[in-house]
Amino acid sequence: MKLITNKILVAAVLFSAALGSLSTHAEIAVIVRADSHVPYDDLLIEKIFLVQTLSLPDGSKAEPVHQKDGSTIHSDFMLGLLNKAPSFIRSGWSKLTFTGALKSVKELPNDEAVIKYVESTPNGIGYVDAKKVKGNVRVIMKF
Amino acid sequence: MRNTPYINSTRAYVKRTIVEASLLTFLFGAGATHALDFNVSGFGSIVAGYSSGGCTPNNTLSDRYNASCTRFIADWAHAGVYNSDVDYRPESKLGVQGTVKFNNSISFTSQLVARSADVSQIGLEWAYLTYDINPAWTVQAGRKRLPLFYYSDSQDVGFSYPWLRLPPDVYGWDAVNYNGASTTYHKLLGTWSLKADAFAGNESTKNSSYAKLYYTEPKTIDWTNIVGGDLELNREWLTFRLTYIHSGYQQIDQATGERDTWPSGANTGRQTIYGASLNVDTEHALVRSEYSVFDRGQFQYTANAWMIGAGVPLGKWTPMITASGYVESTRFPDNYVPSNWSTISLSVRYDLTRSSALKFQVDRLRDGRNTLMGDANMIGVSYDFVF
Repeated sequence: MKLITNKILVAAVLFSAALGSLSTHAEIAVIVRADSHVPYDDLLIEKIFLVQTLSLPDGSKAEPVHQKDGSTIHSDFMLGLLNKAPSFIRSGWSKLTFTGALKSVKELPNDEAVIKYVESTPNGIGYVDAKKVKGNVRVIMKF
Repeated sequence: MRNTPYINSTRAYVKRTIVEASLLTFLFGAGATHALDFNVSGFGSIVAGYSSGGCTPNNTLSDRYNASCTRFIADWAHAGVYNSDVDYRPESKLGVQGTVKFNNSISFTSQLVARSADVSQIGLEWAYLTYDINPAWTVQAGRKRLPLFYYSDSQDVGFSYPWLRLPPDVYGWDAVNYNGASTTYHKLLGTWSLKADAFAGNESTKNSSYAKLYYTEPKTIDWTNIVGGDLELNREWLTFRLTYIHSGYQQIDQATGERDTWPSGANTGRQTIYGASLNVDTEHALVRSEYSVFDRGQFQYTANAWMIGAGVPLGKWTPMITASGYVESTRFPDNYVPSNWSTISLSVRYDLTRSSALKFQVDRLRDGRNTLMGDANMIGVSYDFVF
């Protein structure tokens, strides 16, 4: 009986370890140009990356950049940003893609390209692996 | 006389194909030579299924669908109908969408969809110019999707919804797109985001697939002087949508060129369409609901359609149960027999990769008067992908 209990315990530990490893990801940093004075908050960041608004508080236009759809960092970012099921985020993203809503959103292939874009775009906002942050950018959110 | 519409439609098809081909050449050419910001994406669904159950030979569908004793209308707009043989044709499709950005505020979007239900033509679903006036206001002109329902814009993209198909009791009418113009307004209201559209245009559907469900003869269905608006509010896990559309409506018999007469005795009419949708998405639950009224009561019937579904996302699996229904009423009972039916659906979506999903769904439809399509049980599987 004790043996069975132990086995169950071991299985439970292994199972939660497996679940844990699924949910952990490299820390992601949301970056803007170092000289940006836009008062971003979590809600505004979320709405900008979902293209629900591109209006910044001063009336100018946000220039968000996503990483490639289907990349690990894109899904980790979306999962971290939104408290929703992964399958919803994937299907919701395809709804946005094919309604033309994402036409004004740039997509770049890697961290370096995103940093370069944000450095050179006054209202640019993007996300990269927190360990890769460098250059003329500022981190405004981390998760 | 019978051959005329066929010749016309072939000509129209060839003409359309040429227009579409030049459009694509233009898009690809522009992208290659001027290094404009050009983006192509695509989607597809392979769907197979069959219906079984009640046998209703004497129904009011057109003869081409009466051979089998069961039938399930999966796609009203494109006449995707299953019978008792396993079939992949009614709902399988492949689409490509291209967007070219001319500068920061002007872009052109086009979407082509090929359907196995209608192999005779590739549908030019979208072809519109977008002008972003400022971050809040956008205008678009060209060929666009009619925003009848919550999922109208992505209705061909199976990957974008949890079911194998959008509930046909709600999502199935005789116009899908329109030619015209629209304006969109985005605004943040506290923690809510608001998106509002207003639009106007026209749509004429020659050789209407929807009409093929009812008539042997080819028909043209016109929605004239369409005006409407929709409004979407979103906050964290809640999405709420309202829609209103008003237009003229007529059906033309292509062999004679004459307008068909409605049960009221008139041969044109005006319709009002309105509806609401409420959706919930959290980490552990999803709810989809939609209510829609097609008021053609002046000349034919008023149809009330509804749908409510609930599901639980469990990792890669999303099991769901959905109930839907469709009820017509008429002021002309001597000339029109109103239909009603309801459906219960069980579905499960399995996210195979980040860009593909497998789905399995069973539907149990009960035809209230057992006169239109008859009772049917439907079983289907699908593979949906985006690229």
